[in-house]
Amino acid sequence: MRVRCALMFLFVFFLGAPAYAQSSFVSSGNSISIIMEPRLPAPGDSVRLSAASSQTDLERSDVTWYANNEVIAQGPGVKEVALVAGPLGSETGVFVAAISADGTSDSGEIFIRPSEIDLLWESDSYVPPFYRGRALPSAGTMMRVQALARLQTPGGALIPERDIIYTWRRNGVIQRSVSGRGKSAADLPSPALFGADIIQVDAAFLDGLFEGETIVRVPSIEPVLVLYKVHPLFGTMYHQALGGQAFIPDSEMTFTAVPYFAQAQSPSDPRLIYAWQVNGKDVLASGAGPDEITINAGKSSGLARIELSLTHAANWLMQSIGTWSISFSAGGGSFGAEPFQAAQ
Amino acid sequence: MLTTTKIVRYILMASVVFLLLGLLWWYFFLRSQSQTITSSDSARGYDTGAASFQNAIGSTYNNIVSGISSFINDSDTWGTGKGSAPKQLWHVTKTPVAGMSFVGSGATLRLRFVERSTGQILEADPADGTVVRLTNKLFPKTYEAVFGRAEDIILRSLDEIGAITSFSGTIATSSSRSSSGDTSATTSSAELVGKQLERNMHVIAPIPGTRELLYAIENPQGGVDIIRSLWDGSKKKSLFSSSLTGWKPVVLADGRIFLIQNPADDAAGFAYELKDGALKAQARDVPGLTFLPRTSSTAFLLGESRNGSLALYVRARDDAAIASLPLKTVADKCVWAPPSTSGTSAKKTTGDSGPLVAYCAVPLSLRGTNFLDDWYRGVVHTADAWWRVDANADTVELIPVDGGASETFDVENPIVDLKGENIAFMNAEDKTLWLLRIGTAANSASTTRQ
Repeated sequence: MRVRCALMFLFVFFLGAPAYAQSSFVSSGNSISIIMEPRLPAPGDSVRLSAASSQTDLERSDVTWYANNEVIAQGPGVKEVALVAGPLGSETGVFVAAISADGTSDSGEIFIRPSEIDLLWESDSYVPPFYRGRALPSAGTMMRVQALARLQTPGGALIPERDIIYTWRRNGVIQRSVSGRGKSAADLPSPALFGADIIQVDAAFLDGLFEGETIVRVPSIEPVLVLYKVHPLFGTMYHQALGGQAFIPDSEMTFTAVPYFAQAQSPSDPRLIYAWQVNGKDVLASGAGPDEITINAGKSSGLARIELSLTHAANWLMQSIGTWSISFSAGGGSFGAEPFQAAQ
Repeated sequence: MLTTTKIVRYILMASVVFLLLGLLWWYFFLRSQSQTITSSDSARGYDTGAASFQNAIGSTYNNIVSGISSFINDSDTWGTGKGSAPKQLWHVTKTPVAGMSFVGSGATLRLRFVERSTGQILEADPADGTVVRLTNKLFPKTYEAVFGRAEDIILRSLDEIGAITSFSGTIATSSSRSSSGDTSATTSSAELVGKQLERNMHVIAPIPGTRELLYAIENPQGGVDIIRSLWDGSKKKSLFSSSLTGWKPVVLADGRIFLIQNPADDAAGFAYELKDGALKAQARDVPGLTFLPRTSSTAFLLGESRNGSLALYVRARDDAAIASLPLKTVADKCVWAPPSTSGTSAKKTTGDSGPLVAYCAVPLSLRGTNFLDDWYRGVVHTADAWWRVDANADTVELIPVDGGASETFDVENPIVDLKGENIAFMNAEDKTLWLLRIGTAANSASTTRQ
């Protein structure tokens, strides 16, 4: 009984003392260490706590677990407990006490302070104006990542971004140049072609009491070539991508190729190299830029097979190819050897 | 002997005769040339009457549609134009529009919209199907129109280098209406006055109940600033800065502001409420997130695109669990019915108000595994059916459409009028404008529960 009273005293002492003097995942000064999984839980996460000691044989000890002064588990050899992390801003003090068969006692303590970190990402790859989707990373582009950390004290105050130290990791390797105090955003190279990167960020309050981490897997994709009509009245018909087979009810039409997710500032970026072919013949772009081609089918009513190969002057990994078979509603002439020509 | 005076007189008379003969010859010469040009134009298919403004909609529609056979799929014309009530599902235009908005309510309800080709503003009367052109100022290739309060509008286009331009205008209220000659419709001409805003505003959202707008614009750091300003772009106030550029701002009638990260299939998405410069998470880490909050309540619809499949969820209140709905669609195809106490004035409370009803267009079938990305790129289109969602009861009901079985449409940008009786939407496949009368009471009685 005397031992239990002593343990309770220790328990109250540790919880009542300035709790911020210790890390949220390292046990207290006594020899029982507590391992928390996950290491930095989010609100509502299931948390598993495991006790271990090099001095006390916990298997043969009477072990008692407390959470905020209430017994949550008790019995001989109870080395693990599970509980649910509280809401954001909560603090749960978990104390474990062990009394061995020979009457010696040992204890350990840990605090659960849930945090929330959102890890958002996009790429600086090209998407056209008014596009409502996300710019996705492709090889050669840069990835923008931003961490929105919500570290909240039990008093309800959110720790400001400037007082948080961010540590960025890419595939497990710390990115020192973009890590540091207040550095909640980072520009990182996009994953290699067909690859994926694991991006991890750790956000910790200056004194280390409040900490959180999150991880995300970001895949790389190939740029996507999409062909649209450039209508004289409506402009680029971004809502009507041309499929592999398309019918154009006109004799002349300008098309534009949009290189979604390419490493470019615009479709007419000088680093992009467009190689157009119509019915197997190389043709030059004939619209307002290299991404546009005007086809005049005035002397034919047949099929125009447009092929486009897009490469990048500085990024040899980038190559996209598109092929479209377009039937024009032209009229008048008969088929010639070369019915389709890029208009001059 | 002829005197010098007589000689001069004869010369003058002869000159006049020659001059008259010359003019006569010139007249016949020009006439013959005009006939040649006309016949040549006719042969080239340009035999369209000169542009006129003699009827309600002006000549633009006819000029455009007659030249584009792909827009003429049936014999239905633009509106009835004859004063008869349109069908429950009304294909308001056959040509692309840039945006639309309801104005007025009840008997004065009008559907105002902007032609994509001209940037001109027109109004359709859902009661009798008449369409009236309001403005004739030309804004070619208007890709997007953003409607604000009353007569405020922003027309968005691209300049020669591909930068986004935004013209902030106001429809002058001194519009004159007059009867036209051969139709029962009336004509109207109003002036659109305004100014160009900053270039490259990524997205613009009107702030309901005010003459203000919210927009995202790139900052020197490569991210974007979320700016609140007056409708003409003045009195800017930065509300938030982000390192990311892909945000969709939504401002509700109760004044709340939401920022939704641009979605992509399978990519984790986030939605926040922006309050006092800080972000309060609403939906976190949802693959392919589309998000639609409701005004005057804490309810929202949430769409997910994961592993080639779509799912729709609803949360009725902030203390309620998120419930799955048996509809495979995206929140972009949904619209909340207005609160029962809705009005034009913005309410500053977030207490629940009115029945939690939403209308969602649901694709009859889905192709491909990356629906969102492909849909946004215009690569895939769907044929949709309208469903009514009761968020309180977690039930959905199909809305039958009279005579709409043969009509297919891929719904985008749906809006609902203040009384919740009409839904207007654009067909994503051709950007044409549609109107669906849902007539709340009748609709509830005739729906089929799933």
